[in-house]
Amino acid sequence: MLSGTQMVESQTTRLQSYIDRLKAGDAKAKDELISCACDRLQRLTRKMLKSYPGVARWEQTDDIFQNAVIRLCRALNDTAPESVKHFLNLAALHIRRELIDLARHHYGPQGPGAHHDTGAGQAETPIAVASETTMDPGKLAQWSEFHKQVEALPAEEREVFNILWYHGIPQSEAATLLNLSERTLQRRWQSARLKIFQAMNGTLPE
Amino acid sequence: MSQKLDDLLLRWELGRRGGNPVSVDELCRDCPELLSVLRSQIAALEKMDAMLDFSPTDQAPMSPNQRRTRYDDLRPGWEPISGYRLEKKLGAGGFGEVWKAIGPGGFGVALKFVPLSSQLGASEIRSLDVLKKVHHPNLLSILGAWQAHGFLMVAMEQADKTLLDRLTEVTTNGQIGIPKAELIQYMQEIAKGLDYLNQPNANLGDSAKEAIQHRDIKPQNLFLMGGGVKIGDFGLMRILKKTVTDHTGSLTLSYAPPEFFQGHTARTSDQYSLAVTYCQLRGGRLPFVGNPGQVMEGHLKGTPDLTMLPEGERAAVARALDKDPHARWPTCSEFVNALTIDGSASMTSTSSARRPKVARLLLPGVLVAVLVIAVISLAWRFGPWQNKGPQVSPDKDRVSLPDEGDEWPDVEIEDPRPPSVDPPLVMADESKRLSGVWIRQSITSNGKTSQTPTSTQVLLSGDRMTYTYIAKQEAVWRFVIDPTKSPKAFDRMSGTKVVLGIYKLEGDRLTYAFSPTGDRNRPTDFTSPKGSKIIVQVYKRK
Repeated sequence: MLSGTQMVESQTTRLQSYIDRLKAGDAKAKDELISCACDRLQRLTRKMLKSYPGVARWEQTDDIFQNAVIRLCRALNDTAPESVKHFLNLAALHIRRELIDLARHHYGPQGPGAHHDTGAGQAETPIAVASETTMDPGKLAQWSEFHKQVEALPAEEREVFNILWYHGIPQSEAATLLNLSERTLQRRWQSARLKIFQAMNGTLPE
Repeated sequence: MSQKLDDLLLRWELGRRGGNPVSVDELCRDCPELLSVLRSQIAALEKMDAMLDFSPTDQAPMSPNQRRTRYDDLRPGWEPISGYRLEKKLGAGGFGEVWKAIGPGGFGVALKFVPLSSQLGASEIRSLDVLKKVHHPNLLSILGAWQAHGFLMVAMEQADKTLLDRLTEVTTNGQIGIPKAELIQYMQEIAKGLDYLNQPNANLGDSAKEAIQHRDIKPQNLFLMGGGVKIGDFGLMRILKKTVTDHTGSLTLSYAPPEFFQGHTARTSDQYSLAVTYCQLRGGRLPFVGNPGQVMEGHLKGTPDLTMLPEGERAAVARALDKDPHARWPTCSEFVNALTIDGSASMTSTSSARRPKVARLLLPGVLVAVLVIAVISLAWRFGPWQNKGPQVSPDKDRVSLPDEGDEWPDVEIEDPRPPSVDPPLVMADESKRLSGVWIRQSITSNGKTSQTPTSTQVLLSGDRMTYTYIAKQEAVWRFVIDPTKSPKAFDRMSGTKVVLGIYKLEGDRLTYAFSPTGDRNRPTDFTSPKGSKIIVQVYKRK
């Protein structure tokens, strides 16, 4: 059985082979790259929406994936990734923007989620009172703010954040990929998290 | 100082990552002035990691408490929770397995194991706390609930058998259903339990009145104990629907009220499921049968087949099965009372007394609308335009009564047209035309069309739609088509909700447009203008 690191190494190798194939004109390699990004987006979307059942009411995850696929297709058409690092940063950028749009679209001032009357006005009080009545636009907006703060990080720290969190690549593998020592990677990761925490005044999404 | 602080933080993080955490005091032994700021920065990092769900270790094995126990590990003699020893497996259901266990003091309990994909959130735990406060003679008591070994474990009173078991007994003896006198007694007790759950109850919440919808009433969840009946699994549906790992669906299709398919729960939803349950227990059959798509369609639009019941009971049951939650009986007890006396007599008095004022005002209009629908239906069936195909587009489903000015309200009604040709033949023919593998060519969304990966495909077979994205199966949905509509309707289930759509077939090209999940407006054409949430997909047959 492969260890986690071996799995990621093979994933990195696979990503590189897709990029090589794409450069050689194999259009199907683009599908494979998009698939990798969408897998990660799927996990992050579920995490983000887990506490917000109201969002799932409006936007099912398959619909989100379709938007993400469209966005990534356009991006890959416009810019052919030159390396695994380039692809991971590009994909992280679009994953982040998709998640920001999702929050903005559904929980902005005019978003349907912000005004939805759960239960359609019927005289019922659901059991999951705490979660179902917390249709608080501010909470999902915190996720949106978080993604924006990642965007605002210095490039080196953002790159580390992209690879470690948006793509879930282990630190040792990320260090190799970025050609950094593990201590340097760790310092950047640490600094990035503290900057985001401070920028959000310690108010984090649950 | 900043460099020193960074170094200390790095030492702390590397120690944590390597599984050898270093205490803050130890780190600051030579620099106590940094103790306070280091603590606050570590607290910040820990909060960030909790939010990011980020493990400090790269690939650390899960601790024994985190490691998930598989069902295979459940075995007689094991104590998953101190004081509760498993004795034998009682059964398995949608949410998990139920075991008989011997609890503290030697008392037998039923222990339900629900596998969790993640730890329960704070709101779910609060909901469980609410459930623990629920006590009623007709509700199966929850004795305790724990999270461990990757399961939510719920200890409940142990029952003798379910009403489904009882139905099996009587049918084995040659009877169609449970004898009425016996069944009515059960129904009265169930109704009391459901009414207690469904009414806002100040005793359950700390500050607000709380009501509980069971959402999964069916014979398997109604338990016989000492000659009486108790409702089990109440509230779990709501708590667990986001957390369980292997539930096959958050509702039991045969008993689900129509509003569930539209993403709503009403105060009278349990009453609907109870009425379906009554049909099965009394007459041995369900009011809507067929494949899952047909059952769903029946709940949403069909007239229930109540011929398994004596005529005198049908009106009461029909009202409990009304598509409109507001038109059902005010309470489950009133529904059951109506079953015990002549249905038609009780219907009149109770319905007029308890209907909302607005509904009473609209009633004359509704009655006229029903007459108009009947006339239109008859005219369609016997009129000269029979078999000419659909003449009215779906957006004309909203019918205004003609020439009556403001005196008559607009009444939303179902499409009154009977099928213009024999529906089974049309469906079979159209299903055959749709069957096969379709490769997606493009998606149009918010006014923009984009080519999509050519390996994204959909397999249509029977009433199943299997969506495969780059050689990886993503989802299987059930779908229902109505080729008699114009444009042709194509509705698919997404979770518990219906995604309304339309389609057109042009040779080897299939165009499919659909509204957002839960949206009650079906697309009327195959465009997705800017600002629209409609998605249009074009497929080519493989």
